[in-house]
Amino acid sequence: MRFLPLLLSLLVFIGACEKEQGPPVVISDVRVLAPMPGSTMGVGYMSIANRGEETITVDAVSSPQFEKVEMHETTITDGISRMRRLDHVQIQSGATAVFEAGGKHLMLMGATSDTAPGSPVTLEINHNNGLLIVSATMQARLPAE
Amino acid sequence: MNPVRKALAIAFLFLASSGIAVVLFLTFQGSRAQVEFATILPAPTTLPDFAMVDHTGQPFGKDQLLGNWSVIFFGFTHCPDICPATLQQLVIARSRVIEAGGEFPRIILISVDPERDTPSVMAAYVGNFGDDIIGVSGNPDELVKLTKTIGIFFAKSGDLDGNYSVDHSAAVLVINENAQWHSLFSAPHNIDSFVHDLPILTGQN
Repeated sequence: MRFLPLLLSLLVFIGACEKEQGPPVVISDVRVLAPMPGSTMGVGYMSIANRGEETITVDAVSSPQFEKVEMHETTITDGISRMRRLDHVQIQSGATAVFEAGGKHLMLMGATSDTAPGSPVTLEINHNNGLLIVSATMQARLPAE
Repeated sequence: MNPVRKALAIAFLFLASSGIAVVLFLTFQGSRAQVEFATILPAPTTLPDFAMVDHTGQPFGKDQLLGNWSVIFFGFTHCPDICPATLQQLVIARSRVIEAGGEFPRIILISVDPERDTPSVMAAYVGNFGDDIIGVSGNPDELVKLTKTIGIFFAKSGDLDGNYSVDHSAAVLVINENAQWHSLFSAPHNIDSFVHDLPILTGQN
C-alpha cells in the first residue's frame, strides 16, 4: 500500500504524456451555416490543424445531410470575387488550414434531410492518413448580429 | 518707429495671424467628419436608363433610384459565401446607424445571374435579410447596359461540377438621390467602414 501513491502518480504521469501527444489532426471552430429558406445550399467553416510529422492532404469531404460537399475558395483579386473548386488541400506539418468566410470554405449542396438551424450535421473529412468525423449543429446565418 | 521695433511688430502680427489661421483650420477640420474608407468619384456619374424587375415583379430602372440614396451590391443567390456575407454586413451596419439615430441608404442586390435568379428566387433570397432589401434581376442585355457604365464586371465560370459560379466585382456602390453613381466601397468589406462613412457620404454628418 505504500507504493499506491507512487503508482497513482506514475499513472497520472503516463496519462499526461499521452494527452500531450494528442491526435495528429485536430479540427476546431466548426461552423455549418444552414441553407437559407428557398435554398438547399449550406456553407461550412473550420480549422484543420496538422500536429503530425508529415504533410496531410484533405481530398474529399462528405456529409450524410447533403448530396455533395465540395471544398471551394473565394478570392478577391483586383476587386473581382471569384470562387473555384479545390480538388485537395495540403496541410504541412505544424500548419493549420483555415476555412473561413471570404476564403476557403465547404460548399454543402443538395440538402437531403432536415437541415434547419439547430439540426445535427456530420462532416466526414477524408485525408491521406485517414478519416475524421465531426459532428456539429446547423447554425442560422441570420440573425444579423 | 525705429526699424527694429517695426520689424518686431511685423513679426508679431505675422505670428499672431498664423496662429489664428491654424486654430480656425483645426476647428473647421474637427467639426467635419471625414470619409475614411469609401472612394468618392471626382464627379458623380449619371446612370444609363435600364429596365429590370424587382423581387416583387415591379419594373426597376433608373427612375426607381431617384429620390433616395442607395447602396448597390452585385451578386447572385447561388453564391454561398461573399454575397450573403456582404448583405449581412450591410444589414448589420444599417441597424447600427439607425440605432444611433441616423438614416441608412436603401440596400439593393442586383443579380449577375439573371438566368437562375428570377424575381421569385430573388424574393425568397432577399427576404432572408429583411423585409426592405430590394432584389433586382432581369434581362441580361439590360444588366450589361447598366454594368458597363459603372465598371462592374461579371462572367460565368463553369469550373464547378454540374453547376456554375459567376465571377463578379465585389464593390458596394453608393448611388445618390439623383440616380448618380457617387462613391464606392472596395472589397473586402467590413461593417465599421459602412457605419462610419455612409452617414457622411449621404450628408448627415
